Amino acid sequence: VTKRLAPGVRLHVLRTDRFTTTLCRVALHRDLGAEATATAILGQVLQSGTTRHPSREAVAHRLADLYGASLHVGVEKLGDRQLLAASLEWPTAFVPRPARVLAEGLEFLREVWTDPKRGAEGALDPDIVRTEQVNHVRNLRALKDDKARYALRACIEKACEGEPFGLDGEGREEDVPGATPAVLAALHRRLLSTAPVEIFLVGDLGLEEAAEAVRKRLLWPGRASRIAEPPPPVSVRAARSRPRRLVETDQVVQGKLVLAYRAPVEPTSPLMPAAQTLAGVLGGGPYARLFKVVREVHGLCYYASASWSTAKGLMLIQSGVEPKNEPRATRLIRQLAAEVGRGVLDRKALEGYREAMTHRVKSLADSRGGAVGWYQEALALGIDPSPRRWLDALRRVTPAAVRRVGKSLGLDTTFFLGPPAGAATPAKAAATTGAS
Amino acid sequence: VIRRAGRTNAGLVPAQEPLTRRKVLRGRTEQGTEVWVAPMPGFTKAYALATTRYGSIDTLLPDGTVLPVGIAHFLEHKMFQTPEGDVFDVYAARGASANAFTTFDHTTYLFSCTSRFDENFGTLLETMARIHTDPKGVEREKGIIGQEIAMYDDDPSWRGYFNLLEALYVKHPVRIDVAGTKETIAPIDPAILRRTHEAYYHPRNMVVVVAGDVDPGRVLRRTGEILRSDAPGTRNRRVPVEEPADVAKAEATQALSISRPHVLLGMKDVPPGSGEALVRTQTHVALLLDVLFSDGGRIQTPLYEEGIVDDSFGASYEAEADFAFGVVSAEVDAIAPYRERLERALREAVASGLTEEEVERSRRKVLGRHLRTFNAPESVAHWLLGVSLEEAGLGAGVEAVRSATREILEGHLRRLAAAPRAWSILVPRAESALTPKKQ
Repeated sequence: VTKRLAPGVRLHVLRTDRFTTTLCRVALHRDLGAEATATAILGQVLQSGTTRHPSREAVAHRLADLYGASLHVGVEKLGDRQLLAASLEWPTAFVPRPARVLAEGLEFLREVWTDPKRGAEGALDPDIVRTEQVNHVRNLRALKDDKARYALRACIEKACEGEPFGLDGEGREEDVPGATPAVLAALHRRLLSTAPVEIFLVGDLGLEEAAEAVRKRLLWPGRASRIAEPPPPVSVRAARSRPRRLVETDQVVQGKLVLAYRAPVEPTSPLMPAAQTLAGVLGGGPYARLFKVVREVHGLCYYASASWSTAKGLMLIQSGVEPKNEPRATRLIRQLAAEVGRGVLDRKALEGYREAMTHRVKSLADSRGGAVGWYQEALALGIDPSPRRWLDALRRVTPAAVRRVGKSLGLDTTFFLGPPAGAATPAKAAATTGAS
Repeated sequence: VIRRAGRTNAGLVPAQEPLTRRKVLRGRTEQGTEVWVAPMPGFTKAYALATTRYGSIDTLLPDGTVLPVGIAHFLEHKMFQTPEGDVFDVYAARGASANAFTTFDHTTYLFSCTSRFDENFGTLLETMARIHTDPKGVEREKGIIGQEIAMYDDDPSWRGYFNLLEALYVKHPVRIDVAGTKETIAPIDPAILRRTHEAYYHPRNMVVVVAGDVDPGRVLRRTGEILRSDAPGTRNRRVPVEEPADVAKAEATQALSISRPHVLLGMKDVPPGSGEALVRTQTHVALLLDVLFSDGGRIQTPLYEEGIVDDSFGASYEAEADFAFGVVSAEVDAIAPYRERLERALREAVASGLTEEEVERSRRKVLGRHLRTFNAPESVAHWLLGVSLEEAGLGAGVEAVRSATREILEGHLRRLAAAPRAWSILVPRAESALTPKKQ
């Protein structure tokens, strides 16, 4: 259930008494662009100190006092938008005076969100900002340490060149020095005042009770009457006319292969469930074609999966293969994608995908993170948020509908991260040296 | 839809979790399989684990036959294949989600479902009860596992951890990579897989845990019906390995394609024994590590503020009956200054001791974390599996948190700080290293 609390501020309450903790999430929406890096650093800075709790140590101690509450402030990517969100989860059952603990949690979330530690002239604390700038550069560089994630990110960057979605949600290293204490303070003030905000509260509270608690303990003053609605998160397009193949070399044992397909299917299109079914039958899980053929029949990989990005009409396929097998794996993957795109739906794979989605929808009741993510995406993309109706639509998908999606689906970019040609595979034993 | 009517607890004994007073049921089948059920009314999902007390540290068959390195994990993969096809397909057709994992001392098969629990539970038990080993399938699996191993070869956290264990341990098989290598899994054949299954997948050696809104009596009965064996079998009782107190080598270094060095400090501890003593030590050391290394902790705070460490800094402790070690890990810009600073911080902590306030705060945090366990069938089931494998009581963990004192934690600190140490260091490959910029 939803309630409008202030201009551009909506509260969504999921009432449940089955959990021992309460979850509250505040998320603001903004465009994904020039300020992405500064917004990401702002998230780090917010959880590093407030006026009342002016250091990470003081923040950590406050969280410990709230019976080991967990706080996370960070950015996420939702289609062409960037979200800055702060979540707090804290025990509100089996603790002394639960009502008071609930109020204290919300108040602390407000403190973190609205009242960062400041330095001179209202700028954010320079020491905290400097530390988090350094850490942000480290984190951006460390993205390369996770090879699968790096390859996926590189492929998206190339396939969506020139679109906001091509940018990583965490931003870029070259923009880090520009995120100064003064810039961050101005950004913080502007976002809190004008960005649209969604608040999710999951706990043992009814809508009115929750609205009152949030108004009193969490909501902040100074909202502008005019809200800066960011551009829509959705933009879809067809694949480029000639697919590109990009190769990057790195000293890896296993090559990472990513294929990006595109189809101009909008989230609100009646073909959306068919597009999701196409990706699901192709690579949604161990029941799907990629797993069955590339892994089980040919033994070429440990993982091979496909997923559909609803906001972008983008199908991403990922696998890890031995470098010499890359051409064979790519060929197989393209054949299977073409086969499913023709509406050839393997009975077991289709049944497996539908059952898996039924399981996913039913599990939403047990998982607060899952439920919040579901509603958040549906609200942002303007689609019906009812999981039940989505499932019904999915069950009605016909091979003909999948074929229609398949006709508009094209390979856009293939990205392969592999060892330099002729490089010897680094043997584990040879690379490990002992020095006592 | 699971019906409530006709539920029984026949053969099961109730016990109570001390913090939330939630009920847990425990029983044993005729052939000796331990069964735990946590009823979770109101939850849609049910989650089941079937575990054999057999893992990568079991390097021999009971008759002394030396097993190929990586066979426990290989067996885990092969158990999903039946003459009728892949067990994943059976689960998938019912919308259940299945998986398995292999650890040092156990192998666990699991599923979660929101409907048709009885059928899925039957499949889980049947998967454990029988092995199907066609030579072609075994060979194909070598290719798949080879790619899984290749994935770990590029994974800095996996490499750093197993390089550290190789440095810490001289003889104990905990030093061996759970998955093995392409070379060590090469000789695995159907015969050795069958013999291993017969020896270690015996009903007496297994534990079944279910969390969810299910019929407990039926869980016990079905387990007894399906997990049966005519062969004599026993609970896997490991002969303690006589491991020297000192480390195998003080340092292990590997070059990897990473952005900056990963540094792990290992502290080789004296094994704390089993049962309640084991849980007590695990819990008390966890509290100590929280005081020192968590966000806002005694050692974390100055190192973070000095810019030496970031969010990648953390510590953990692993203990079983015959091995125990603590690990402090970080990604750093420069290795030597970090090592010196960390060593100094440890010395200072030993010299100054802890405060009552620090201990109390960590106690609250750890109890809060335990409370969160009850938010999902998954975490409840894994907690119960731990209770069963550790052979301590249901309340042993909470009891240990409550009994922790500043003096006890300081004792652990002094012992760990003086323990034999090894370092595992991953350095960026010269050709792929990003040039570190001075900020």
